[in-house]
Amino acid sequence: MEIQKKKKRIVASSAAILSIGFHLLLILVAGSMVALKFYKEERAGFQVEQQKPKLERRKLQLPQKAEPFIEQMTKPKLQTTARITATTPQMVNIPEQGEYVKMAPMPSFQGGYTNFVQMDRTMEFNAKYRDVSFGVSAVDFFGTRGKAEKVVVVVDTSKSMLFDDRGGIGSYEMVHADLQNVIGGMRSATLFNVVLFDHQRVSLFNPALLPATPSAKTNVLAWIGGINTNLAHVGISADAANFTAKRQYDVPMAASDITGWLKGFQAAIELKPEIIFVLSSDWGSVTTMRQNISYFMKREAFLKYQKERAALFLAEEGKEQMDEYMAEFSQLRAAALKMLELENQARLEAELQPKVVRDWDEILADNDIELPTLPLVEEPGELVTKPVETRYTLGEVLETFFVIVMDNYRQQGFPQLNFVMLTADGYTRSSTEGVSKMTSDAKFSDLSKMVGGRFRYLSGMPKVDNQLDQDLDDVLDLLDLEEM
Amino acid sequence: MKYSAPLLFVSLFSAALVNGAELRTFTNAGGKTMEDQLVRYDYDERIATFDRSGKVPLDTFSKKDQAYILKWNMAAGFKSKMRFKTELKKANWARMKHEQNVTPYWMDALQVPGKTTPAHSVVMIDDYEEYTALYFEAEGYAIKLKNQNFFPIENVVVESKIFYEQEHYQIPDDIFSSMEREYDDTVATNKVRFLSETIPVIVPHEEVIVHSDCAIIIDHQLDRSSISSTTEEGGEEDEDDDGGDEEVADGFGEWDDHSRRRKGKVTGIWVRIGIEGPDGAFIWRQMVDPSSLPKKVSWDPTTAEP
Repeated sequence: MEIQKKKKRIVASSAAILSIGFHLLLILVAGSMVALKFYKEERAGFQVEQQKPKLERRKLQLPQKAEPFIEQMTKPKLQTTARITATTPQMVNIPEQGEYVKMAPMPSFQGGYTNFVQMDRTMEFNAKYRDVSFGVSAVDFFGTRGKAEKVVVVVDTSKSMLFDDRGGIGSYEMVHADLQNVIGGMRSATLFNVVLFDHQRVSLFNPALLPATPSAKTNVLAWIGGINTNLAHVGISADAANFTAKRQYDVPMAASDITGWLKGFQAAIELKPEIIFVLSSDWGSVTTMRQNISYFMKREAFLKYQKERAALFLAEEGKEQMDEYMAEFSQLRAAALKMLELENQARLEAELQPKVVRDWDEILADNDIELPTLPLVEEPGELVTKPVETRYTLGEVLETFFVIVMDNYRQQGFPQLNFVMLTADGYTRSSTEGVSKMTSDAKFSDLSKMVGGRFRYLSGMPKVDNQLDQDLDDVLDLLDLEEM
Repeated sequence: MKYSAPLLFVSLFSAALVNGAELRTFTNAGGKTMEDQLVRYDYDERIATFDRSGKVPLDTFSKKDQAYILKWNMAAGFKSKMRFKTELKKANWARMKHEQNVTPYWMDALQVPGKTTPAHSVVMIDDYEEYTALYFEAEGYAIKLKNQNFFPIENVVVESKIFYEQEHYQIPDDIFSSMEREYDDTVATNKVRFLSETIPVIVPHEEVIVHSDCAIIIDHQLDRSSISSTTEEGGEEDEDDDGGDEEVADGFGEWDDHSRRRKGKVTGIWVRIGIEGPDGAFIWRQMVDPSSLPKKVSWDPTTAEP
């Protein structure tokens, strides 16, 4: 037993010695490896390393003020052109669920003595049917400004835009240039249209509003560019007049008497834009040259009145007086037409556009020749039809205007309206007729105030002078010679 | 609310009385028929409750009867004043005002042969001034519809007639005729504007606002009582004129008599809101403002007042 115990002890002690020896060996190997490594690294420290050329770091092109990307996204850059300024989008106004027909805040009456229209300008336009305002364009049309997503520009193309005293074709070139700026500066998401008018004729570029895409802009500018560039063909041709009213209005004016800017405006209103710019040269369908009076004529009543008047003249034995007037009148008319022919011939030779006149007698006035005084009925009170019935009162025109707008916009209230009137260079604004609200500018100015819009005068280019100073006697002699 | 449950019960009960007042033959998908009175329909569970047969799932009925039950339910919900609320609110949509003091004038126009523009003769009556005021108002009504049912109401037709009256002058404003007796006489014209709109669907708890047509109200005032003069001489003339019966200008009569005014006002609105009932006939609910309106006007002028 003891032997076995001794054997066990011997085996146990030898195993311990073996283990200790093995571990000492391991420590020695590890220590030598560390020593070798340390020795190698020590030597490396003395080696001269080849110097690599230093790469120059590119400097980061940082903006002066670094902003988080998301902030940059919400601040679009201002784009500034000569006339058009694209500004930041308006506040996004998302309609609440189920409010797609909810009414905008109603206008409130606050009293006051000034002319006004009470309405909330933000209205549904900024919220209804719209999620974001990407299409809002800031428009500056001859100094009348506004921001909207739906824009219509109404432009006068009648010959009254091209009269010599209003600067002739030079003024219309100004119109072309401004339209190019206005339309060219619109954002592509803006819906727009252009309406041209020429007395009874109204022409829309497109039957509805269309987005101001580059191709649409190019097309509309090409369309406008062809208007009134050749003064031998002024205004809109009959086949280009494409507007017919969408509805009948219960208004004091007959549909056939709604002409000029009012008809163009009607076409614009039916497109229901948020902002309308109107450029016109005159207020009414009749504008007198000397008295500077402008009004809308009641055509039917006027013709009736003329018949009655002629009959009264005969009854008052005014025929002789009238015959005398007409004899002188006819002679002057023939002379005026000849003067016009000679003037245009001279302009052609000077490579100028022909003269555009209000009426043939304008050239007589240019040459200081007066038409004979119109004989009047002695007792106008005896006429069944009164002279006042041959024209619409300002109230009747305003009523027509108001009904046309409200029949289309109803609870939305008025859109933004701006008026620009082309006047002669150096036009005198205050006059007795103006005070009595008979002139075009007085009426446009009042209307603009009433609707909370803006009114601006567009001063035309300097007057185009006649090429010839003509003498009546010379022209009459010339006519006699031609007759012979 | 404590009383909401009884109210709901009363409303459902009354709706059932109104809509299920008669027996009808219903057919199931297999062609089997039953004659019973529909008293209730649960939109969420799609179960119809009958007077005698009790609860029957909607899907068991023929397509035609399923459509009938759904329309019956919609009509019941539409007719309930508790569950389908309506409200009228008058509003002024726009105003335009124009006031001016002007020098009156007389103008004659003559068409001269061969001329486009007539020749004019204008006489400014410089010593006098007239005040004119024009007020244009566009008034209308907002018609608010609120569906408090737990199911949508479809194809709601809203018809509105806005009634208003407007005065017109008997004779035009000619200074020669302004001394005539009927110069300030007016005649009132009754006007009505009709508008119809269809709302495709009003979902549960949705509020929809539609609008009536627009009534254009005009108030015109012409005041020539304040005669003014720009010169001292004119002032003296005025005094003379006030003292005597002489005409202030040839043929124009007594100036300060020539004032007149015409007005207008909204009489009220009549609104009919309707949906197609289960039998195809329209079910209408009507609203008027003011409540006395049916005494003055009728919806259809050719028939008796409803």
